[in-house]
Amino acid sequence: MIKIQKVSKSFNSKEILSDISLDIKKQDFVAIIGPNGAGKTTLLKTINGLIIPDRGKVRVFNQDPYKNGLAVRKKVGFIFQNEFILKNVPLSVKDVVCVGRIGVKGLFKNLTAEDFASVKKAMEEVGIMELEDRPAGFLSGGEQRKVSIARELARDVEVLLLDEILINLDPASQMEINSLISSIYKKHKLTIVFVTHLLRYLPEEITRVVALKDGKLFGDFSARDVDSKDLSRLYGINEESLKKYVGNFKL
Amino acid sequence: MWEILSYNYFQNALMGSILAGVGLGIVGVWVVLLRIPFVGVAISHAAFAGSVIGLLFGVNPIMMAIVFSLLASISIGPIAEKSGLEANVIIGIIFSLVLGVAFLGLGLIKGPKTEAFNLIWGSILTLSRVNIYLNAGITFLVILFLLFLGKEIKAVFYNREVAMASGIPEKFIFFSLLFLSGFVICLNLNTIGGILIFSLLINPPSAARILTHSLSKMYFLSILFGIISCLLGLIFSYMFGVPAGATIIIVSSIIFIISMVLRGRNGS
Repeated sequence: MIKIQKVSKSFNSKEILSDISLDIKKQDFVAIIGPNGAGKTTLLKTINGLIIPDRGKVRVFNQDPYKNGLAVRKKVGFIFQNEFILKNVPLSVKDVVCVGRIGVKGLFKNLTAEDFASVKKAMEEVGIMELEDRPAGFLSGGEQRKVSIARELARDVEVLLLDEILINLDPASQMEINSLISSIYKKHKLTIVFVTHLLRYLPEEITRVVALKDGKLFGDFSARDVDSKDLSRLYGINEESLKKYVGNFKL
Repeated sequence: MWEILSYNYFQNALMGSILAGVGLGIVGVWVVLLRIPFVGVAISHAAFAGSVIGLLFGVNPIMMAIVFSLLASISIGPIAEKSGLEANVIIGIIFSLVLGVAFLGLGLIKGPKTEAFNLIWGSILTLSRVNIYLNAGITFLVILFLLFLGKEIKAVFYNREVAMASGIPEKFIFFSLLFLSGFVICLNLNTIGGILIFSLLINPPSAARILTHSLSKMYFLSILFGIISCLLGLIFSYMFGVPAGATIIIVSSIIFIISMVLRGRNGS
């Protein structure tokens, strides 16, 4: 479904991704972890063509996501890490969820009753129907995350790319969003790539853990295999300290 | 007072006012929500620089004003994209560049410079039928763009990166918004003038934003406030024998203040 072959990318002469190869299959639920600056977000953005690799090849549904960006992005959802809604933009929650249908619909076509039905269904599933008419810029962090999830659900995507979506949320909201993502994964049989720092709160359904360090592939583990020894080497801190922080890391 | 309506120049001024209210009311919403208010100042000074260069080289100054302001509006988006800087920064750079060109040209022109300064101060009572047709054309184009691509424009306001990741051609939409805004501003310079146009571009949509959380209502109120500002400004200008540009701006500012008071009362 997603094939990444020997991909490298530099910014300002600094190599952010170096010779990365990865094969993500249908219904994989992949966590991408690694220290700050490891290239996690860059890797995610190459998957939907927002960043073009300097070398190597990315194929999503056998298509080049940069050359066929609009077509690929119709099937690939993306939630950004700092995706906040500006207070000055007069959009309701429903307006924002509708944004998900706009790209699918295409230019010069109005949203139809079918589109609005998808929007309603997505809002119901995420549990934000009562927020429908609220100004989107005035929501809490957790509510804004749910709106973003509903927006991508309304698109009927097959792949969901999530870039540190738990960041800046309190523990209760982190757990709530995690369980929402898990239930969406099970119900819609999606392929999910989940970039995160919060090892304590990884969803239970994760099938693989891909670790990046200094732009290189540090390890590609099955979720059962990865343990605190691997993490200790990945983050360069001793195992005991890491255990105190993330608990006994075993999925 | 009503006999004034039979004069051609006043009919032109009335039509120019309504078109300015509609055109600037719509692009004002874009400029405010994209947070690039100074685009109005940069475009109007690009037009000023164009007219100065026109006078200097003996080319039609109005035509040169249009060419310069369109060049300025068309280059903001791609330069911002290429340099990785904010559109606001590029607007500042273009503003300083065109101002430099204008001052250089002014220093070199030996004859009268009135035509160039007309674009800065505006003269609604001297609008020609050609001005009206041009303004009507661009206003119609802006309305069509809004009707056919309104949902994509909404997505760009929400978040450009999300719009792009959702399969929306956000660069095309964003660049088109900048270009059309520049075009509308340029063609309305004769009506309101380069310095004062800034207020007519910002006050009506800001007053509208204060009163509503709905984008479609914001468009409607912004257009309404734009038309009211222009028409009342024109009437007061005639009644009191004062410059129309100034009265239009004062009315639009009063509308903004009234909106603030109303919002305070409603507590929203």
